[in-house]
Amino acid sequence: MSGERMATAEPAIEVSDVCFAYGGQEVLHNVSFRVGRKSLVAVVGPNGGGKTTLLKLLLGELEPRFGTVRVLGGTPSETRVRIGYVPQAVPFDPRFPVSVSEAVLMGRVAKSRFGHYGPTDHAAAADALERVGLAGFGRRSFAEISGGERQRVLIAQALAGGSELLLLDEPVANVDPEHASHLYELFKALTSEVTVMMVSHNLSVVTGHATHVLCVNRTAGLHVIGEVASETFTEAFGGVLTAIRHDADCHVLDPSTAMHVPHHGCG
Amino acid sequence: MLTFFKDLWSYPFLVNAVLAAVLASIAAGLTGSLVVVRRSTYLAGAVSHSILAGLGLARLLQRRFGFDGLTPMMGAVLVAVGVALLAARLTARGKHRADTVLSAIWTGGMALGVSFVAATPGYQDDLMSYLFGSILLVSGPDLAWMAAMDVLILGVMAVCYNRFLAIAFNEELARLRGVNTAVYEVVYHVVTALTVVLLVRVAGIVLAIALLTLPAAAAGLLTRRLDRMMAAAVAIGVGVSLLGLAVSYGPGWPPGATIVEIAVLVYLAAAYLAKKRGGN
Repeated sequence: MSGERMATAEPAIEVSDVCFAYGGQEVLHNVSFRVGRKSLVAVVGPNGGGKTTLLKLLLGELEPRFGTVRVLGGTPSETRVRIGYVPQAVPFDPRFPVSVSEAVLMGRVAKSRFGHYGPTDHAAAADALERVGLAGFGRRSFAEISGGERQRVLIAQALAGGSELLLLDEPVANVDPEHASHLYELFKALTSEVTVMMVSHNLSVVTGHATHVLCVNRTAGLHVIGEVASETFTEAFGGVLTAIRHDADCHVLDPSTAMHVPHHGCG
Repeated sequence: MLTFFKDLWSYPFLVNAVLAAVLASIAAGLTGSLVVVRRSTYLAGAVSHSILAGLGLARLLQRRFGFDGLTPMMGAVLVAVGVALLAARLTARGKHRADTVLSAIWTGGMALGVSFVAATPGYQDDLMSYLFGSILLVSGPDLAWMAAMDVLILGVMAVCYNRFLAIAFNEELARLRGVNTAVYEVVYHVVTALTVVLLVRVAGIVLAIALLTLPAAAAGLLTRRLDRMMAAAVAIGVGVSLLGLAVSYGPGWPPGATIVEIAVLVYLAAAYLAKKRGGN
């Protein structure tokens, strides 16, 4: 194992033989996968299939019953400050008194020793805002910007804190389609520096941008997206079907089926 | 109102009242802004009412069992802090329904207070002043104690501001970004409890919540940042309480009630202004 790690770069995520149950109900069974650095992984699967549970395991909010979870070369609790979790939607009070730049600075909240942020913090926040395409938004109120812009602000918050891995829970759930595709482009651009893993329902968009798809339904399988094949199928089938290459010898044409059947011999 | 300004120079108790109003407004504006944005005014309500139990118990121990060093204010501080921490623990991460827990503390605390008062020999005149406020009776040592509390609250806010803001914004995110939220929650609840005790001294148990929440709520309608909201809440609190003192003095109205009535009017005016400016 360690030899393997020496040979390749340390993977961003390494999940080995993980089982997790809430009480007697097993949610994840024997899950193993590795995510390389700077990948853009889309996590798909039916509701109740264990996607959120998997995210919580990666964050160290939950402990696996069996198996190990390693993130960024350590246990989640060791590396948590380098993991940028972005929730689906912040339950948000429209009158909450915070500006965009203050919200971004919160990514560095544990780094600032006393009450106020220093010049380094402000520089990092401005840089993060620029990276998500919101340069110049700093002084605006977080309450008055759109849902898509708020998602970007939360991503900037994670980046400002120096996150090397972004875990996004349904990042476009509350965003209109046009802004959603802009967000996906942003995620793709971010993978030049960080690893991005996002839970998503919208398969056709996901497969157009992600480098890998992680199918989670009690078990989990990581699949490389065949980009060329994907485009071919999009033309042929009007964008409904996408190829997911499970293994060299195993092709699944309909991803929704792929999620429901067990991955026997595939991945 | 004119009588008030004429008498202000001849009666020290009026100067004390003015100072008490200013000192209370500083604490109320700072802590109240956090309480309002965190939507935890019911916590303050429960703490303020359960203070009666602390006052009553301290007085009972003093009069009946000879604990001379135990002043009612010490009883109030101990019970307020204890109750706030208990509520924080019971309601953390939705363990129990927050409103139910707070109602139990609220009513249970008041009931215990009434029982303690009944069991204590003698007429409980100054306990009644805790119920309905006694800003005209604030003494020199009270003022010193209030000033010390203000310094403490200002210090805590200066040190913890970023973390308090991040936790109020989203507790889960703050925790995941590396903030030890458990520690800051304890600090927040202790500060809230101490602020409520201080306000009870000025406005009485019944009206303390109004002083804590109304200036902050009005400030929240007029500003879009927590630090400005705190500053505005302090300013509104000072203005409202001094105006209340001055207006009530001539006709002999109860000052605490007058202050709160003016605070409600200011809050309504702020809501009207915010609506007119097109805020939501």
